Amino acid sequence: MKKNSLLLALLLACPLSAQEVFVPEQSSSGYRFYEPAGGSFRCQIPAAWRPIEEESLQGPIVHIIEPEQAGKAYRSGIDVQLFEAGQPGVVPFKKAIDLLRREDKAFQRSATPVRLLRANGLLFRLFEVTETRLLPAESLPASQTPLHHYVAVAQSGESYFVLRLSSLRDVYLDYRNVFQLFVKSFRPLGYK
Amino acid sequence: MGSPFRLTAWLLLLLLQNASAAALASLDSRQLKLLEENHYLLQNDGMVRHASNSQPVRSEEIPYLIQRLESVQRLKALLRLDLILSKSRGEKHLTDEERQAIRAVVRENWPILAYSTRKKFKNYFSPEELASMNSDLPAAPVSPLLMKDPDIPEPGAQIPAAPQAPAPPPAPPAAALPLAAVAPPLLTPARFTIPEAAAPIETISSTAAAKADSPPVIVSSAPAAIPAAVQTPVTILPVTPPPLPETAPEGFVFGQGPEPQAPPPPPPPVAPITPVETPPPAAPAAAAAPLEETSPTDLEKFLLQAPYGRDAKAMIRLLSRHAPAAARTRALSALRLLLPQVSLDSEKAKDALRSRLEKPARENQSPLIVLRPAVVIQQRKRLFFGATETALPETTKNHEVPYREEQTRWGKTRVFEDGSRRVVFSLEQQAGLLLADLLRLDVSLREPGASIREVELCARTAQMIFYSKLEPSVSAEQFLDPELRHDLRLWREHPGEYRSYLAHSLPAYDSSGSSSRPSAALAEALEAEKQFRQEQGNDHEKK
Repeated sequence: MKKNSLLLALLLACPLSAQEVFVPEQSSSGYRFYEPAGGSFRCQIPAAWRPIEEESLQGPIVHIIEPEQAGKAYRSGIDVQLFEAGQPGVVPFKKAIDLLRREDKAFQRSATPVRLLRANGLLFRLFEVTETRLLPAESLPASQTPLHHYVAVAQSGESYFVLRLSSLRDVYLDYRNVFQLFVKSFRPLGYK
Repeated sequence: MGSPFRLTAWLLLLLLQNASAAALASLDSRQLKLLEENHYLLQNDGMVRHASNSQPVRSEEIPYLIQRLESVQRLKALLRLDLILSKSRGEKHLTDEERQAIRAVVRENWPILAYSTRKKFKNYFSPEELASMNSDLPAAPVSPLLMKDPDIPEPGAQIPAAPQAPAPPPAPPAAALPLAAVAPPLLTPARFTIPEAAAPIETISSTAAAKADSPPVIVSSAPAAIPAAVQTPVTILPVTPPPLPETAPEGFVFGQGPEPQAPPPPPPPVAPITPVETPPPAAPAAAAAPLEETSPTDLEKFLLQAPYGRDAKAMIRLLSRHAPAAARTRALSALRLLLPQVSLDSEKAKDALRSRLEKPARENQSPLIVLRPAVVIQQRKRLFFGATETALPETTKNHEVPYREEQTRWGKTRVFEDGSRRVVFSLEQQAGLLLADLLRLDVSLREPGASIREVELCARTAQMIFYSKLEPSVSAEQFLDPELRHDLRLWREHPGEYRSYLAHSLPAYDSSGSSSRPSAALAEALEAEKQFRQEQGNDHEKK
């Protein structure tokens, strides 16, 4: 009895390692709800951003890209990819996180440590990746440009989702709130 | 007796004028402006003289004159820079005005400054500004390393017959001197170029000078027109040649030649020899043509007659051997039906990093595929460590002999005296780019409603499969440039990230096509990718 009460007291005293977040039912100002044709998830995205749905060998991919701006070599946007268990080339969840956080000195690629976020019943692994690519990709002059990726990985049953918001490193802080709202509003459909 | 004297004098005068005109024609606008600024006057007879001197400058002295004037201008520029820097608090503490003044002086005199001076002041400019200023640098001798032998046609190739030039007119009578037949060999030595706009040389009858009552008029040819690129507003003084004396000089007598005859008409201009070009078929006909396999024998027969250089043919053979089957059929079909021009030229590539596709604007126009052979890599060191690389277009004017070669992440890099580094793209890489462009051409013609995303995915999937299949057979360790190598690794190991990178970096990736049906070419490309990955997976399991 004393052991049980002591254990209960310890559990109550420990801070939660992952924060629980509740999502409002209405979309925020300047945002809209989006659900792809395949009905795999639902989320909030900036109203002006345009989604592109594709099929790949490993599963469906959705790119939600900001409008094209003159002089901008890299458009910011969110990519959502569903890795369905059993598809060719799909690696286990933990290995997928390690591969996403891989380092590459030739392209100055590095990743931050993983932190946790719980939202809509999912446990997201969050980290940030930076790398350098030659941009613009197809025209000259092109110079090495640092890129930034906010990455969130969430397991949903046997499959897992990879959410990524990519932008130029110079402006990545401008999209921090966008990514936070996106992750907090992300809800898989039919993959529980 | 006097007529040969007059004729010789007239010929010498003409020779001098044409030589001077030829020397002026070789000058660019900057050098002509330099002459004008230093009070040198260009006469309409092609002679150059100083405003204070009536003696004209000889044609062979014009290059030395330009050299001396450039040297003086360079000295003035250095003195101005020295004055600005000596008045300042030091180069590290320049005010904005002083910095802008230095930039203005350097920019104005960039082409004539020495290499060491340009190197010292290049940090005042951005890479884009430097690229623009370096494009105006004077041409240097072509590096022997970059010289290429002309393409020798394959044995058995049918060389198109040039159109026959019109037969020259019959020889005029011997009485009148046909200067048109005599002058050209004398006036066109190998080192002079006669502008095309030169007026025809009029003939002179020797008997016209025999009339003692009126001095003969020497009809001089109109001064050679300066080419359009060289035309600048300069002061031109009208000059008339001095008339011949009425009495013959001592020891000479005006002779009496044969009866005057009408001067023979000038020969008609020779038609330029142009290669016979087979007109390409119209695009709708190509789009309607069914896709057919091209056997290796048919391909070799096609290449024997195709108007492609040695490198282009080598690339076509490579892609025929290693491209995925469906992509190979489409690419070779586009090649045979549309006969696009394939050019390896840095200038024609304009601002494209690796290749540029120009689709035909009209029905009877052939498409153009330009592949960039090399790119300039400029490194700027960062504050503490590392360097930022910038890729710039290669300017053909700066071809010099590289003074060393070094191994960088771009592969074998040639370093030149001006500090620039040039990377030459491999033939294998360019073959993949050619394959991608041929597929873009084919898909845009057969499926005009396909979206940019579908066209790009189709082309790039085939390109990546081609590189993957080619890799084991290539002896070079790195036959792709670092960025393309990274794309290939992403495509192979992290295809989702590769797709995301395309979506973010390619313009108009999100534009939708006009067709509601999915692209058949993309479906073929994805099927080829699936098959390729399965084969790779099986090979990996076997290992």
